[in-house]
Amino acid sequence: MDAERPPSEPAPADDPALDPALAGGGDEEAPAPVPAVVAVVIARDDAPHLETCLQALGASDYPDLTVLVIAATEVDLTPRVAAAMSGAFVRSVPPGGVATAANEALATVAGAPFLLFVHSDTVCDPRAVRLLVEEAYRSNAAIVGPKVVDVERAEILREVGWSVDRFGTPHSEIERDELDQEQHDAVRDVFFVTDVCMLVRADLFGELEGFDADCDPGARELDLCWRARLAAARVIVAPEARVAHYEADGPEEQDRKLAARHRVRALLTNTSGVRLLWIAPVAFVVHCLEAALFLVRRQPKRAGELLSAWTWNLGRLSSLATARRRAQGARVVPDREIHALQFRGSVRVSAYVTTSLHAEDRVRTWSQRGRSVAETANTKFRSARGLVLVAFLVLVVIGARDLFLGRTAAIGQLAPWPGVGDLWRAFTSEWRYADLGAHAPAPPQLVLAALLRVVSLGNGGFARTLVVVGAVPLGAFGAHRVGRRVAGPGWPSATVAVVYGIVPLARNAVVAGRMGALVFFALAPFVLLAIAQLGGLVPSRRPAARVAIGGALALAVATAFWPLAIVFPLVVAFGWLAAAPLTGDSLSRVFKIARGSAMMFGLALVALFPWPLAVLDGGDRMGALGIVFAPIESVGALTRLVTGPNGGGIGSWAFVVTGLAVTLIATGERARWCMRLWGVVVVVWMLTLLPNWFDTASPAVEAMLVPVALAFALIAGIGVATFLEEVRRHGLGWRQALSVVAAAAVGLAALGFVGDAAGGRWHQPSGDWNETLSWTRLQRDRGPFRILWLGRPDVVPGSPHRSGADAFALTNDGPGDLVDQLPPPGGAGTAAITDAVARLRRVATTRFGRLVSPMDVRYVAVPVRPDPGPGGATVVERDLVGALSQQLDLQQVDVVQGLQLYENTAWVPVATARRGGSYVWSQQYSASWHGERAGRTLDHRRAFGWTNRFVTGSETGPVSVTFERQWWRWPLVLFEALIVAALVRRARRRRRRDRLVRTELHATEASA
Amino acid sequence: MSVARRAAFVAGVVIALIIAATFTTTGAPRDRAVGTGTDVGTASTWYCAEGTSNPNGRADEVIVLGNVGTTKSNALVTVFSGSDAAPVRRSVAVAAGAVARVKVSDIVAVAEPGVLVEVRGGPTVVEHQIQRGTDQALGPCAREPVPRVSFAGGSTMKGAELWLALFNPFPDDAIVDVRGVTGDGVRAPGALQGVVVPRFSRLSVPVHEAIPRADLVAVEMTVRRGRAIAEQSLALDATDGRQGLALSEGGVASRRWAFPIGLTGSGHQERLVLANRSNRDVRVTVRFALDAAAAVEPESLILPGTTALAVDTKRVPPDVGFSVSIRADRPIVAEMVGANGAPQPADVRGLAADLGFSVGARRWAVVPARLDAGSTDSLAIVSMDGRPHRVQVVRSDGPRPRVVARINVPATGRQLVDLAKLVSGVNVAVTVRANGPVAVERESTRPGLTRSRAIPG
Repeated sequence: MDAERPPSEPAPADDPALDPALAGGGDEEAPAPVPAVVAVVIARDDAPHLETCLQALGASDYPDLTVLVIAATEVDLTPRVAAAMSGAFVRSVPPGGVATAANEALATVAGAPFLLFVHSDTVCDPRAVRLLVEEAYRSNAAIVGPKVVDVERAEILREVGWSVDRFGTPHSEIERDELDQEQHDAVRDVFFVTDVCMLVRADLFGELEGFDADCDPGARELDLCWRARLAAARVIVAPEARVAHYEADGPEEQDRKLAARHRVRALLTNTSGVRLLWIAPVAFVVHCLEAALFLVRRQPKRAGELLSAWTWNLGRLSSLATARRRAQGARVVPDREIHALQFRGSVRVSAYVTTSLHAEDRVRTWSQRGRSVAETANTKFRSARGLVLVAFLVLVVIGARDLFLGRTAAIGQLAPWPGVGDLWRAFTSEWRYADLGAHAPAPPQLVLAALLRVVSLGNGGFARTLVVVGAVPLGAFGAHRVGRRVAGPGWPSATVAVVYGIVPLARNAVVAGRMGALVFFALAPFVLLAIAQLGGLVPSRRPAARVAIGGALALAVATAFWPLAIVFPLVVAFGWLAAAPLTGDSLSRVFKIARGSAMMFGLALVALFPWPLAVLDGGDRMGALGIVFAPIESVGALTRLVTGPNGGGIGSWAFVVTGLAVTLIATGERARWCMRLWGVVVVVWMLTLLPNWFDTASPAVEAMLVPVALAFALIAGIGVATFLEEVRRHGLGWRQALSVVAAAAVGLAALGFVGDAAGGRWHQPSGDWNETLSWTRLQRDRGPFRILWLGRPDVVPGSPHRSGADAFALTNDGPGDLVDQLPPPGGAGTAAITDAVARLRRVATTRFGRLVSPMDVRYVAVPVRPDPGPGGATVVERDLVGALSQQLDLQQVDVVQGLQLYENTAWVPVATARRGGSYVWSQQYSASWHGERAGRTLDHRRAFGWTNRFVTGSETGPVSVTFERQWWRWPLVLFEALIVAALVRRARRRRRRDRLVRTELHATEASA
Repeated sequence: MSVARRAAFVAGVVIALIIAATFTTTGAPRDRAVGTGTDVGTASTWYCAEGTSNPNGRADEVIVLGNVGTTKSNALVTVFSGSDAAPVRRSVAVAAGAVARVKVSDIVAVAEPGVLVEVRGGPTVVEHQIQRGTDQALGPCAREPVPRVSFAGGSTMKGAELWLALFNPFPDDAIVDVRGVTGDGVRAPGALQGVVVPRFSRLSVPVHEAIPRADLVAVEMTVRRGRAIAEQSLALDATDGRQGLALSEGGVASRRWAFPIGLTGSGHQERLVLANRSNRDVRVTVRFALDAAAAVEPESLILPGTTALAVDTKRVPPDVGFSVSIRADRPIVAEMVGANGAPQPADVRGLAADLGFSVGARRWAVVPARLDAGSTDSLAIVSMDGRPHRVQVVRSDGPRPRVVARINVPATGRQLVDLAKLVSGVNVAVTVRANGPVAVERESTRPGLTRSRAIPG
């Protein structure tokens, strides 16, 4: 044995088993020389599998293989090495990491073209070394790794090379315990290979100065291979070469904390300076989000590990700088080529989706559920009520066919949705640019729309249509659920679903473009069910907290689109409280209902935080809450729930007639439910009529009456249940007669629904002003501008404000989109424009254009109707047009029928927007606006009482304006995400627990 | 829960709905912010179309600004002279209760000046006075552009010049059509169709050249595109016995007209012209209310479609002042053209046209109260709703408004107010306040004859 002597020249290849290809021919000729390989076996601690490892190397068919054991342990391994492989060398080094031990090869080995790093718990296949060397030559690779399999079950894959994402997080294509079915047997480039068994070109290893000991453990191979990549060396995996691994190394190999630190070090070391400028911040944010997620999941240790990775590296900047100099000094390849080899996106996010969320299990579960649902549906839909439900759904599809196949017109609040990026930017902007701007939180509607856009693969129009059309079936589904609890399963719940679906409110909301009403229509049944469950009126298998959170989240989504939806639980509670004398509900029950409603109200506010705070600002709060529309026209419309062209005719009386009839025929608990629902109806009716009586603006009546529609649908379901269980068992009487009347009335209403479906659009116009005025978007080249919409509240698109009988809305740089919706209450700016509109209306000015030019108003649009086409102007438009025709600085533009459009000749393009040596920034005044010209801060003042003026003096040149408090938005967004995630997580945790309990119960039942 | 209680509840709901229906307004939302466009508030804009400012122009123009409030006002007088020429502006301050006069030729001397007056501050009304030789006329400037303007009292007989001034101070070009309703039907010469009035300009249309030799020409201007203000002036050279200059700002057709001033005999002539621009005949009733204790039988007549005619005023006794009220079953246009000729003294001879009143108001501004230091100025006030009203004449030129006369206006007939007795200075404005809708017209003689409607507000 030649301990402490380094191997030098390659030994002659005299092994008869040598591959002829390597040996170079037959027996007669001398075998061709093969490159010498020195296997560097890293033995640490007590190296329990050292003998197995050495014996396997000894059995290798490679003719020139020398084995050097680096004993990084305090135990003398020489006897064991000698016993296992007499020709092996042993070099003892102080105990330490693998990298330090492996780097001993730099000083110990000379002359060998290849180094084979092998862990002492690795068992190499006899052909492995030869195959690795062959592949290194064949592929001109500098580092080659084998396929690593499990020792005991060789069919289980452990590693076949690694990829890495832009943030230095490794990613393997194989899954845990994946069977080796030769699916990964192609030779391919990988980002790095493990040093469990790694063949490295010795000269490159020397040039790279070996492993970075500061990246050990967790990232030494990653760092080495990354540096090799920078030096234009290939790193490949040759799966034909197989090794087995015991995975018996020290516990630090699994130390996530160190691994996280060292991966960040590898990232900071090997990324080029320019790219590091954005990769490092993004990686930090990703890690912060990940840490936040771990916190939510109650894993603070893991969160701490992630964050400490950065602080640890920040404390070693000098070492990092040295490593960077070394890595970047060897750089031959630019980072864009390196990035081509990296995983796009975040490995951790992908891993979370596929592992933490148990995506596969879920898919499997969904699949099983789907099969179950399909089987159930197959059974149910063959029943009569199933056919009724199917017919209803078919009619919904037929009725909305043109909306699907054509286009949903951007009428009212159905403004087009901009791109995901724009929506996200608008949501994460600390400054709201809607209207005249405000320092207020953005509405969550924006982020919900962005998510829907993502779900619809970026098709904003389809996403919007999905919300518009999907509201009816989703609302019917929710009504079916609540109907099952309140009226009973089977025909009663089916009746509830169908009656709720055929109520004309949703269809008329489509016509009027009331997006908020549609979303509220879809989600109100879920909220009502949650209130009933929390109040103990209907049984619930779920714990109260989960019910409250689920209901609150539904309420929050509805509120995000229609702010007044937030009071729905309170209205329901008040209605049930008002009905308590008739229903006999005890005080404790009423208190329970009120407590549940208040809980949902509070939770929904929390989920929407901090957006609700925006309403607390001064300004037009009524406008911000959407209380701008005309009151309901008549008591007839109120009772018939007809607010538009859909649902006309005698059939629309069905709902109230049914409600009254069923109240008389129901008995017992059903009668009590009828009275509770009537309590809600009466309260909502009162609230809806108040604006008419007091001649004030009203919220959208389509949304206001949704609780009434739901109540009538439930009462109809109760009627069916009563008929099935009680009335039909008795002889003919007044109850039976009333039942027939109610059924006939519902039948008439259904006929009206069928009639409305014939058009294919629920009577929604096919055109819109957004399309007609799309050319105005091209006018942006002269500078930012706004369009001021004036007219009746029901025809002015977007979220209007009220000024007397007129409504007005502002859209930015064109006819507007979702970003302009739900503007904050505003303040001095909104007051200024309200005053300007009032002065216009009184004809107290003939320079209206000049009045609104500080607001960047370039166009004034007065629509006579919601969509292009012929139409008579009402007194509002006539007076407005009369007043506008007297304005000396408004030039009429011919557009199309139904719209008067004026161009403001007093509008000044931004390039020349200087007023007396000043630059006017047409957003509402805030001290946080900051202006600069050529690096010099400009004096900032208030102008016109509401906007910003930057004093430029006589200098010329571009002015840069920034909002200085944007930084505040990011933690706020993170906070919002945490709140929602916490609520969702709490609901999910409950759900998992419920599932476990149910499983145990089933098991107990089965065993019993 | 018993059926009876539920039945009572159902009945209660039905009754409540019925009660609610009675308190619920149906139909369109009420409008609580409708502007009249006629109030003279703290800001107002006036358009003076007719007039010239060049030497030897046909109608030298003077802008008359009268502040009828108790705070001073500032007016910006802008003279437009074409799209290619920059408008010329001048600021004028008007003291409370005072009258300021601005000669347009002092601002800029052009043949086609369109004058825009924007007032800020105290309520101020704007009139303009045109002069041609010794003849002069006074009339209020227009408050707003309207899509159609009608005149009735025009003539293009020999010795008559009928000018239609079209003013467009707006940023877009206007296209207008002009036609004349005559005693023989409608005449719409091609030259007067599609007339382009460029932005920021004034255009004079010689109607007497386009529609020559018509005794009655009721001019009608319709805006096809854009916005424009029209005003008409009529100059007669005594060929038909009448001489002078009349100014009319035009109006819209109405079923009801009132003329507070009328006088015939002893050289006084009144020509009441009715014009029907529609194709259907209109039944018209003309009532004369005499200042004397006598009565004249109302005159009923049929006004054929697209025709203008002059009402016979010979049935009114001579030298008795009168007022006229007209009712028609379809909208018509009516205008009274008065003239003083021989044997009246030379210094009161002249011509005046007045479109009459179709609506009344409770508050009227008279600016200036005295046309000239030597003039004879009077107000004629009639009730517009057939009821008697109490009226005050108020001066605003002091530290606080002063009521200088209190009079009662009868239900029918008129009440005259001699301004010369109430107001001594020339540049003074007065207001007339009534407790009901009245119409107020001012007549001034010496020099010449001038009539002008007071200005509501």
